[in-house]
Amino acid sequence: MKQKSIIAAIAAIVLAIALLLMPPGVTSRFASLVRIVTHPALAWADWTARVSLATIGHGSPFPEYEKITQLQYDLAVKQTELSNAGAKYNTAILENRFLKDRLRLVYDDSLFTLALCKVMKRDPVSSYYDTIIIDGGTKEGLKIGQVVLALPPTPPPGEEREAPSLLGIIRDVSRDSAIVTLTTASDFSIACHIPVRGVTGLITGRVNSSQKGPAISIPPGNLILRHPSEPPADPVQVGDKVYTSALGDNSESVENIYVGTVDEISTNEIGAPVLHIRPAVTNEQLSYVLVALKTTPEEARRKQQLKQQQQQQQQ
Amino acid sequence: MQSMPDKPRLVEIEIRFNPKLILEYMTSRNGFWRHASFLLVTLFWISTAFGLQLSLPTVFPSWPWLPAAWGTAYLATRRGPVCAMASAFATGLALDAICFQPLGPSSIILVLIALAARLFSARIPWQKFFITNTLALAIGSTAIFVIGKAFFCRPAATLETDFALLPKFLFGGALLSLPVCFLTYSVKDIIEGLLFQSIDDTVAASEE
Repeated sequence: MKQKSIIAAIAAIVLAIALLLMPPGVTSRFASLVRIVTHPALAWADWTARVSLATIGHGSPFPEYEKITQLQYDLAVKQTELSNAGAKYNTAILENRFLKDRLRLVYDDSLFTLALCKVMKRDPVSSYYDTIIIDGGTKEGLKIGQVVLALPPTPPPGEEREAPSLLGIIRDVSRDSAIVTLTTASDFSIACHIPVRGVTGLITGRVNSSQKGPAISIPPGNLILRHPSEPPADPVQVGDKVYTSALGDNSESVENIYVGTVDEISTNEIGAPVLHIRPAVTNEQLSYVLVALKTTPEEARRKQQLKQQQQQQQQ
Repeated sequence: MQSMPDKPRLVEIEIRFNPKLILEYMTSRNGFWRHASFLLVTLFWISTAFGLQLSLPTVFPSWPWLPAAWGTAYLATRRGPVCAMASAFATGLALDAICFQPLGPSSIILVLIALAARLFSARIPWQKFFITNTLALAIGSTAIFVIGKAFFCRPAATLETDFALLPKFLFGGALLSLPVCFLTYSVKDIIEGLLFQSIDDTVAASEE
């Protein structure tokens, strides 16, 4: 009995190690197959979890809960449309400010469209603040490196809605789902800039153990911007807003997405400034996210031409 | 004539198609029904384990749910060694594939849980000591899963962060595992008892 168990366990462990050592191409195909096979089980588990929530959490019958979910989805779609408009408005403001500062430079605006995706899974133990899995995939045009944004909270009546802010970057995509590295992950990094000061740099997550923020039990700490480009004449102040930059090596990155505000400024051992950036959003409770799908300049031009043609035809 | 004890003896076997026996196998409760339902129920427990492991945290984010570990420990004690290890391996494989992680680490952790559960149940069988056995399986599987996941499935994390997350999942998970395991193991045992208990066993028990 004991011997059989030990032999079976050793065989299973050897098989698992063999899987670990296999070339990535083979394992990724195998993983895709497993994801397809396990789809019904996940659907069943999702249904069970939702019924549990309806029974314990809401205390309401299931159809009511379904209605609420549908309403939430409709609301999220409307929010997306509003966010699109808000993002364009903010881009225009930033562009205007930038051109005012640097009259001789041409500012290349990166056009993008937003896709609404639902958060499917979060691993509670190993990566709650590191990754999320969303229900959009290559089918919806998602690619590795695309920027993921958080839906802005509903503003109080009479106030303007905030623009969506940075939540993470897509790390891997399958046909129906994608995994997103959150800004609170320790291996997160993205190029950024502070437009009002003309500073650029690379933001990283919680880099080493000296930084505060255990991964799960307490929400992680701030993002870090090390070695900013040039010490500017107008130095960075606490409260300055930080935006993404397309200067990095990520071709899918989008410019001028709000990241957060400078919370603290310190210097490292060689005297270079280190900026601690407080992210604009917390990611503890996420239901829906937005993915910025970048459009190429050719596509943008084509769209503009189509619009112009349609306007001419209408006239 | 000298005898040749070392020479292997040949045995003649005749295989015949026996329709009556096959019909009995297909229709009796101890035959095909038992084997098919055994396989289906095992697959269902495996699916529930990894499915709920990934779905429950999205619905109840503040609770340290670990149904994959608890389900693996259950199957390890109620099934044979090969079935136990195969189900632990499959659960881990599904967890890794769905979470876009490298395939293998979760399987190793769950196989270790299954092995520990089997070795423990060999000393304290669940049929005789249900409460002690369930208590140990719940806490043991939680501890192995959390420690394994924290140290082997987080390449970007530091030791400090690993130690920071341990208390919540070790103590919280262990606390949550007790009522959940007692409830689910009892319900599963009742279901399996109803499905798999053979008529012969029932008759023998009633005669005793």
